[in-house]
Amino acid sequence: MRTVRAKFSFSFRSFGVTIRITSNRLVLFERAVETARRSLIDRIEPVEVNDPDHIFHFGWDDERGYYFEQNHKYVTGGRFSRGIYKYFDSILRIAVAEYSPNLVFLHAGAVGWKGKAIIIPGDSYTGKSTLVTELVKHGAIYFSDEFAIIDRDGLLQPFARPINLRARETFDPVTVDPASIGEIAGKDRLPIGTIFITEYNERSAWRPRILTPAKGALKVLPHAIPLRRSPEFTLGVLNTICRNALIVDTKRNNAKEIAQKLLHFVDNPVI
Amino acid sequence: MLNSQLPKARDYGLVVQESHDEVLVYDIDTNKAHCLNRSSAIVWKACDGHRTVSDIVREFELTSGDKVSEDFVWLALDQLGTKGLLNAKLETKVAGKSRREVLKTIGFASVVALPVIASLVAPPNALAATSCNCSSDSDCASPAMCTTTMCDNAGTSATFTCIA
Repeated sequence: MRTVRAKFSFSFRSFGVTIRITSNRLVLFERAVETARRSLIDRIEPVEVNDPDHIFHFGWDDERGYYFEQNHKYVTGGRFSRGIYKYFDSILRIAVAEYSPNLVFLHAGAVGWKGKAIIIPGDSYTGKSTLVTELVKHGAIYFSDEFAIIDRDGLLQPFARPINLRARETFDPVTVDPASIGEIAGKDRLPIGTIFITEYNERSAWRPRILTPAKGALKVLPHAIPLRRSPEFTLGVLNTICRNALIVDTKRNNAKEIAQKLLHFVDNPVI
Repeated sequence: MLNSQLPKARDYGLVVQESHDEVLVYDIDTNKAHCLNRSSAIVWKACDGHRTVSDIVREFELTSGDKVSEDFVWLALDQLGTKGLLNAKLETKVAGKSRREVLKTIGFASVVALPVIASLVAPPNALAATSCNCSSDSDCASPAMCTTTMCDNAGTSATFTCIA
């Protein structure tokens, strides 16, 4: 595909990853920068960089309409720009999560509880946000409904985006301001006290079992975004958190009920 | 002949993390992760390319303080070989036998936990974690298939990704 020379360019660093956004049209460029700021909850720092880790280009021409390139390769395009920005919003976070040099991003919900973190690894649309919402309503501190971001010492840092829920019948997205339901994490990092491995199952009951550190790490591993890119660092961090945390595995049904049971269990881990 | 083999733990292309008695191994070549329980971990560590199965039995007993049979070690070696955790696959005494048959020879009453290796394959890439159920463009219009009713496969594979 032909690449049009960019008139507009903005480079920034986020979680240690350098990114450049370019465009040949001001209106597309401004929307892309705004999307990036929102996607990364404004944790972006403008930088001068010659060779960024990722380059995202937003263009428009008569032949393709709107189009989007990542690292000079065509990704997607069409007559409407909305889908492109929604895709960019997702792919930007994944790119940061995969390339961040000193952090492990886990696909997980995360809350703070009595000075320690509870993380809930899980794929998208498996009910993480619903459970995190219920935990916050029960007094836990909101850290994230998407990523547990963990440093090399095993400490969790917040990524407190608005909570994204789905309407039960229509699956339409519903955004919840976490401040409207409870407390949001500040800048403090927390050691991980509990890793809650769970899967929704309508008929299942609360039957927690404690996993050994290695078995727990094996369960968490598929949710570690940088695993293939930096396996040594990722496994090291997972080993650190799994050695020090209580790893609880159970199926779950009703999120409200489970939130209560989980917090009680964290306080009194007796089977 | 079988007993003269000198099993050697694979020493390339692996990331190894020890955690208490267990070992977590990530195979960079196949993107598979393996969790070795205490028994399989002891056998794996004893595979230095110089020890025979009889030597590994003695090493196991020294390390763990528990008595085990050669069949027990063969069971561990068979699994380690199958999972690609030995430098070369061995001709093992238990190959082709069912687990039940092997257990009969080891003895159900063994006080030592049997060697077990749990494994999984890491997702193909980071985007896999956000994949939806769509297999064609038309699926994306259906909330039952695509929770966002908008997805993209970036034109590169049959795997679609929800645009959240």
